Amino acid sequence: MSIENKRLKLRRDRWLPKSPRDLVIRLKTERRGIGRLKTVAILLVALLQLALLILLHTLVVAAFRGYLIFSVVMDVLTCLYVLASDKNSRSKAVWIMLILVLFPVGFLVFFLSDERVFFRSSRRRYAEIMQSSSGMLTGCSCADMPETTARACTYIENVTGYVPYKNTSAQYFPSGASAFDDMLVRCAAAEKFIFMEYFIVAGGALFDRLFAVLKERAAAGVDVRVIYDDMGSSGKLSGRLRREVRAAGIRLYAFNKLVPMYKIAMNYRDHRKITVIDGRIAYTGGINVSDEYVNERRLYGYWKDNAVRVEGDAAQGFTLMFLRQWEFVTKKPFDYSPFMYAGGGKFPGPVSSGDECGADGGTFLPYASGLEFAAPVARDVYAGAISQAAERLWIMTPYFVPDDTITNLLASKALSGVDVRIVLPGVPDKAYVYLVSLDNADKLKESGVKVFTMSDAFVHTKSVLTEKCAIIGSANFDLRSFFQQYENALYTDDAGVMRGLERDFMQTFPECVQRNLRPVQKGPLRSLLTAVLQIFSPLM
Amino acid sequence: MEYAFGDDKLAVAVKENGSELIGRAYGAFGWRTERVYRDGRYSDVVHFDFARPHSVPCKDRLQLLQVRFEVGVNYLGKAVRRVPLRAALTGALVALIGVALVVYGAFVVALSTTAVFLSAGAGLIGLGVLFGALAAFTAVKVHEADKRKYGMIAAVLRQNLEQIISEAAQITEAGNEH
Repeated sequence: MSIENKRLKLRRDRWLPKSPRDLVIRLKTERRGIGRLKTVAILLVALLQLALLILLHTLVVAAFRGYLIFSVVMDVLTCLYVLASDKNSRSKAVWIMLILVLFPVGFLVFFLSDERVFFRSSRRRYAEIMQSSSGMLTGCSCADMPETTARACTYIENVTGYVPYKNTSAQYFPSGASAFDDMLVRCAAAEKFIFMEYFIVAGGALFDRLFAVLKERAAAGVDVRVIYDDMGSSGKLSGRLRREVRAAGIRLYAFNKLVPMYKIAMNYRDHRKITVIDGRIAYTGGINVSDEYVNERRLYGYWKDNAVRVEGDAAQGFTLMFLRQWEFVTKKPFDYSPFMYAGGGKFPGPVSSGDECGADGGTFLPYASGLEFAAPVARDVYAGAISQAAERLWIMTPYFVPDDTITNLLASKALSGVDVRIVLPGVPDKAYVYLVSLDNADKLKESGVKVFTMSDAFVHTKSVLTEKCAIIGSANFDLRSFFQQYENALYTDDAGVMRGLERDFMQTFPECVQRNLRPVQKGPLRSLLTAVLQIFSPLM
Repeated sequence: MEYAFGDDKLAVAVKENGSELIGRAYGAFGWRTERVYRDGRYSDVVHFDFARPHSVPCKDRLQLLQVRFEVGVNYLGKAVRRVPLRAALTGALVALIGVALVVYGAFVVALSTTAVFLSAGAGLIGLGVLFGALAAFTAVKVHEADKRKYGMIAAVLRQNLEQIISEAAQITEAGNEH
């Protein structure tokens, strides 16, 4: 065996020290945490600004005694304002506690963080985009669906405007590797456009493969557009790579660029995972464009993820989702109609209705959730599916920090005899969220919910399966996904997708440890830490 | 455009004592060794560069097995180091009490003006020496207990690792036949 390192080649082997590491095997692709440095630095600068503001405010209070009385009044009024707001109950509790703890500047911190004040212009822009693109989708009628699907359709259509489709075939992928392999082949055959919207786009082997295809397609005249979230991709997509992508003719935009300022909008991230090819094929699921999602980089053991491909009319919903977000990030209105595929081979034009809606097969309902809608769509669709489950309710999620609505529904379903199972990671990516997730899941065990953790694996799949429907998408079972992030998913009652997801669950259960079968011992320190972390769970 | 996948690559740094097992195991996972070379910085580290066709049957299962194998082998490595480390730490803690008693005893002896203090100091030194012996005894006992405990765990783990390799080899062979 040779020594490849030229600088070290001259050193005698017998003089070399032994490795201080414990590990017998070390994958050279392992990476931990360094990419988050930029995000942490920006967060620290923002907190510093907040601290400065608090200090100045305190100085004013010290200088003018009357101002203290004003602060008391403002804090009380703010608490009343929070109580009367439409925030979820956990957020209300946390905010009231913070306002009281941070007295006399609590009210100031709250108003600086109020999205109704500091996110107003973005909301207005979203409202304009939604209005101008509201007539683009004409899918099937909800009335012709099975009852459970009809309820979900009606809710989603009324709240978001997204509509159900038939005339669609689908393929379920139980891993990121299989999904991206399929996606690459389909992208390579794209003729008109490729749209990608991902929370994380990171340099690496997967990126190189994908970029080679996109570059070639862009050179062939295909319209290639990519949106990535600036926080999710922070430190992972270098400036050099971004320049290379743009130089190749691919239009690349960051969603909500990170700036070193205390700004509530920084908290709202684009967590969606969408690929649309020619308006006919779309992918969604838990996957992002990064090597760990295809297990070519090891971060937290085996990376368990999933995705679904729809081919047919249902891709329309995802196309519109992307185009709306594209208009938001580029701030330039444009005509969507050239990208809207029509069923039966017509292109462009409105999507089909009528004959295709009577076709056999399942219903496909792509939907988006986020701050462009008044209601927490991701939470409500999950809640609807849970409430309709009568036999089984299987959930796979990386984080389990739901609100009271979901928690109570799950408990009551388990108590009423439904087979409720939750699969969580066996290896955490964020220790603090994991602690809270396990605590929340363990509390449900008393109601009969079966809690599983997948050994040596980080479960990143976000899916729900009942006997009536499947939901596959980007939304976690946590308050961030429910209330603060832009998410998307596919609701379907298609037998093929449901079978695929069921098989995935059935193959995952034997790889898990069932927490119900062994006592969970919690020391006083862990209990205290969990209690403190629970307070901040709305931020997780 | 037709898309053709290139080979997957994997670079691994391995402790030399585990290199035979690792070479065999990664072969079972479908990887072929492209290059093996010494670290140059550490005498006991060997580098392996592997390659594998991108599309292999049951790839997800193979990847899960590979992770389980890596976790198992690394746990074994840690366990081997943990046995003497825990014993040494426990012994050192008890010995520290002994040293403190000896120092305190010597201090009392040096400053004593009466026979009572002198004998008390000598007693403390004696107790310190006793703690020294106790430290050695504790270290030996902890070492024996840990060796037994981790020995059992290691035996089960080695069995599991062999099972993993065997399952992976079956998958890979079945894939090659196809």
